[in-house]
Amino acid sequence: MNRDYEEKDKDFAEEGRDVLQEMKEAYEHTPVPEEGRRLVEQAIQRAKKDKRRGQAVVRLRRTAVGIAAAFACIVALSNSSAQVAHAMGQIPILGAVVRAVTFRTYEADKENFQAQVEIPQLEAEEGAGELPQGAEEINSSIEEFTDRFIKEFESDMETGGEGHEGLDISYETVTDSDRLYTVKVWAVQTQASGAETVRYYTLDKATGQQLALADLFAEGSDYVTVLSEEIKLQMRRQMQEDPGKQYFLDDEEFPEWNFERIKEDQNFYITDGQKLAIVFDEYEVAPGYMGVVSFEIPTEEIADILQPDMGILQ
Amino acid sequence: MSAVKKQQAVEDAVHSTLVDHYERYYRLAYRFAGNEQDALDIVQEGAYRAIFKCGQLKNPEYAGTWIYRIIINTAKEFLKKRSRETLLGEQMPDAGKEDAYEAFDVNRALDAMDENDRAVIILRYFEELTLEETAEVLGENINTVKSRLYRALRKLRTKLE
Repeated sequence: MNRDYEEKDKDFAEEGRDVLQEMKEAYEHTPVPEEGRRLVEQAIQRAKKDKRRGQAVVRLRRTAVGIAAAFACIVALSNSSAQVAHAMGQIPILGAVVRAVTFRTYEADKENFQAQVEIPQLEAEEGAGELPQGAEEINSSIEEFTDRFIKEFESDMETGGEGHEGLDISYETVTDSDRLYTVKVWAVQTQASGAETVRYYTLDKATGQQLALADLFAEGSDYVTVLSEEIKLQMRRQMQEDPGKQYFLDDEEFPEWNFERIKEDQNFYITDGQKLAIVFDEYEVAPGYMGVVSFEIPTEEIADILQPDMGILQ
Repeated sequence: MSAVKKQQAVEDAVHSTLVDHYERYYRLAYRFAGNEQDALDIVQEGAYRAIFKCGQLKNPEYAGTWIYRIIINTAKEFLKKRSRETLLGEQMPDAGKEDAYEAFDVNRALDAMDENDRAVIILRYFEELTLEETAEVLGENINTVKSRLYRALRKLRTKLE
């Protein structure tokens, strides 16, 4: 079949060579207005400016969120004396099994290369006994995740290169409830603009195991499809409500970039409100200026495929 | 290479390809638009989209075929819009008119073709892309491109005989 077409293609090309040659010459003689080159350069500059503006808007939003979060923290501390007492005096309260501590730091400041890295590790709380197996697994995953960025940075630093390059890795405890402990580790690579990669690691204190996305759902349920469809719905809604938001979705021009499905082990965490949040890295499902994006899944949308008696989501 | 570095490399590659091969993109747009003003509009809009969306292009090596694809899609969209406006009678004074200039009547045969068949001939024979690259530009598989070529060449031959 293939061979057949190729031969026909060749035959026609042979026979029609004169005609094609003539057509090609005519095509190449299409007069090209020189002013177009300047117009194209202008269009390029306009696109670059619009792109940077989009990035600036998101950065501003992120800063605003940061301020709000810090503020919320202060309120929580002054209103909840039990937690303050715990933090100050290390009084064991129910559910304190592990905590994240800085295990390794790495700093570099050499000409144009700056790095500020804090790598956490889970350790057993005092009096909580041995470190659960799931926590050990999380520790090696964190190391693997962060090592990759440090190696990349170090090899770039060795080869030199132009311009500024930065690496920031940090972490925070996202959840420490009776049931779950979640640590978020993120890496920001900076050059002309930044790229952020995030991983959430959750320990199920009830089992001592790392909580996987699949664990939340009944065996054999197609959670990948259900979650993916819900996320697409939210993406469409957001794009409709806010033209500044853009996801790789329903793009006819580049269908192969469209978001289709989450990974079976897609990044996720459980919010304070005990809802499932699905997280995507920068560039994974949206242009860079959108940054890291997450989608909170209403529990009623997934109620019928949840693992019964899990009791994690509400 | 870091993700940021890659993105910068991609944007640089798209930028220089757009400028260096401006003539190619203009000629391609002109073959679809039929007049200078519309062809210029298509090339500018295509350049804007290519830079704005280049976050989607992960490998700078594909910048060339990727831009052809954007120009062709922009041109198709443009033609669709133009024919709608013509139907509604909202035509701009110059838009949509074909320039009197035609280097060779033979290229008119191209204009009678289906848009994708036309694109295949231009990309494969005038711009000398490989079959694989042509398929990539059109987002079609290689056998579809081959049958388009076969059909388009046959049509050309009967027209010119």
